[in-house]
Formats: sequence, structure tokens, C-alpha cells
Amino acid sequence: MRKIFKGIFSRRFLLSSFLPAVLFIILSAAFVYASGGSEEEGHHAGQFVTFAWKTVNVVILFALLYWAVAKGIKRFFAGRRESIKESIETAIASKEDAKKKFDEYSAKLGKATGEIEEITRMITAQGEAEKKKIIEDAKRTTEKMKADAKARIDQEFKKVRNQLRKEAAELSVEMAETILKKKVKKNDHELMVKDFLDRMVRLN
Amino acid sequence: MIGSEIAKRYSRAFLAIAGEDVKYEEYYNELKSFSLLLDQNENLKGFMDNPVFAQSEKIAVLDEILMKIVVSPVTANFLKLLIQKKRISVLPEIEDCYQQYMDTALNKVRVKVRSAYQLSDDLSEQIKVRMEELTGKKVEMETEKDSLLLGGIVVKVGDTLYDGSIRAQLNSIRELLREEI
Repeated sequence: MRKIFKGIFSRRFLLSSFLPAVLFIILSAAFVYASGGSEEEGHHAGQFVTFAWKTVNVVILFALLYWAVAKGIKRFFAGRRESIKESIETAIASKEDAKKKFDEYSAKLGKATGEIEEITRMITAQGEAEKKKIIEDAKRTTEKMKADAKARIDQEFKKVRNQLRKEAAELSVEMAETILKKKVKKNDHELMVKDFLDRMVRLN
Repeated sequence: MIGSEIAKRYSRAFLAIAGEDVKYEEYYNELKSFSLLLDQNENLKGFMDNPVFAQSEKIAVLDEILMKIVVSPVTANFLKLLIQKKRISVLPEIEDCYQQYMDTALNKVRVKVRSAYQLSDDLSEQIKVRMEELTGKKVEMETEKDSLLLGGIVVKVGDTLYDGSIRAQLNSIRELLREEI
């Protein structure tokens, strides 16, 4: 109880709130009283006392209310302020984290984009190289096929040419043989023999 | 090769005896006639070559044969020796070797001539003379007609062949034409 009264009638409270309120009430009552007539002075004095007591009661009521609620209200608003502050700080931290993450992901994204571009460029280069290689292989194969075909043609041509030559030779010899069979007589034979003997003896 | 060496050894021995008697050709002809007899008679040849029969039986059969053909005692003994030594099967080789040794001993060469037409005596003589000039030996010539030659002759002297036939020239032309240019 002492604590309560001590809280209510603390110097600070008295100076800042209670005393000005009491003075205001008294001055107001005095002003009302001074402005009243002579006939009605006794009646007005009774009203003033009543009014003063009521005022005092109201002041006490307000003081009690202030004492009972002010701390809670102060605490509530103080907690609320701390909460808001914390929320703001949290929000700022979250924002900073989000910004960091954003920056980080932006960097990662940039890096990934770069890597993708590099991979794309590499794949394109590989594709180009592969394409070039395939074309070169195809060219080489084509050239080889051409060369092979030419070789085969040449070979076939040579074969046919040889075959024709053989056939021509055979036919020529056969024709010559047929003619010689008809034309060569014993006299020719004897001349050949003599000529052969001369040559054989001469050469040996 | 072993057979050839054996044939050479026997033929040299027989030639030495023939030389002593100066009957190279006579003995050769006897040897040749018996060899021909064996060659023509398969049964006789089989009997002589067969090791199942005793040598005495073979000699008895040989004696029977020799009574029917005229053979000098030297040749007969030589044939018996071949039977005893079981060398009668190499008689054809002995005959060939003997002929070569005999030709050498007599400075003689055997010439085989194939001709497209039958050779006249004059032409045969000319060939013989030319061959003698060529070889420097006495020529014993054997002729044969071969119409496939078309014209000309083919002369075989020992292992050497001289081809002067139209057939050979046609073959040369054929080969030349077949060759690639």
C-alpha cells in the first residue's frame, strides 16, 4: 500500500500531472465563485464545496486509474515498440539476407549462364568439328570409292583388253595356221629345213 | 638317284668288258633286245621283279629264254649277275647309261629329228652332215614324221632341242601378240 501511494504521490507525478490538475480545478472553482451575486452567495458556496469535493474525487479516481493502468499501458507500448523494432530489424535482416541470396543467386545464375554459353559454344564447336570431320571422311570415302571404281574399271578394261588381245592372237594364229597348212608345200618345207640348218650351224 | 648310281656302276662295268672285247654296240643291242623283251612281257617282268621267287628259278627261266634268243655269253652272264644281285629291275636304266657311255666312247651322238614331211635321203644326209659339223661327233640319226609341225624340223641332240618348225614360230607369234604393249 505504501508502495502504491509512493507511486501515486511521487514527486515527479505530483509536479508534472497531479498538482497542475488540482490547481486548475481550484482556480476554475475560484473563478466561478468570484463571478457570482451577493444574494446567492451562500448557495453558491455550498455548490462550490460540493464541486470541489467532486473534483477531488475525480482527481483521485484518475490518479488511481493512472496508477493501475499506466504501468501496463507503458509496458504494453514499450513491448509493442520493442516488438516493432525487432520486427523491423528482422525485416531488415531478412531483406539483407534476401538481398544477399538474391545477389548470390544472381551471381550463380550469371555464372550458370556463362557456363551454359560456354557449353553451348563448346558443343557448337564440337558439332562444327564433327561436321567438318564427317564431311572430310565422306570426301575421303568418296575419293577412295572413285579411285577404287577407277581401279576396278581399269582392271576390267585391262582384263577385257588382254582377253581381246588373246582372242585376237589366237584367231590370228589360227588363221595363219590354216593358210600355212594350205600354202606350205614340201618344197617350202625343204627350203625351210635348209635355211634352218644354215642358221643353226652359223649360230652355234 | 640311288637307282641311277647303281645303273651307272653296272653300265660302266659292262662297258669296260665290252671295251675289252671291242663289242660296244653288239652288247648294247643284246642288252636292248632283252630289255625290250621284258618291257613287252608283263608276266616275265613281274616274275623277274618279284622277290618271292628264288634267284635260281629266275636264272633257270632266263636260261630258257636265252636258248631261244641269240645272246653272247658275256651279256648272258651280265643278265644272270643282275638277277643274282636283284638288280634286274634297273635294266632299262642300265641300258640308257650304257648307251650314253658307249656313245661317248665311240665319239657318237644320237640325233632325233622330227619333220613335217618325210625327209628325202639327200636332205637327211645334209642334216646328218650339219649335225656332225655342229657336234664334232659321229651322228646316229633317227627321223620321225610329225605333220603337226606344219613345216620345218625339230632336232634333238642329247638334251638340247633345236626347233625350226612353223609350229614353233606360230607359238612365238602367239606369245608376242598376247603380251601387253
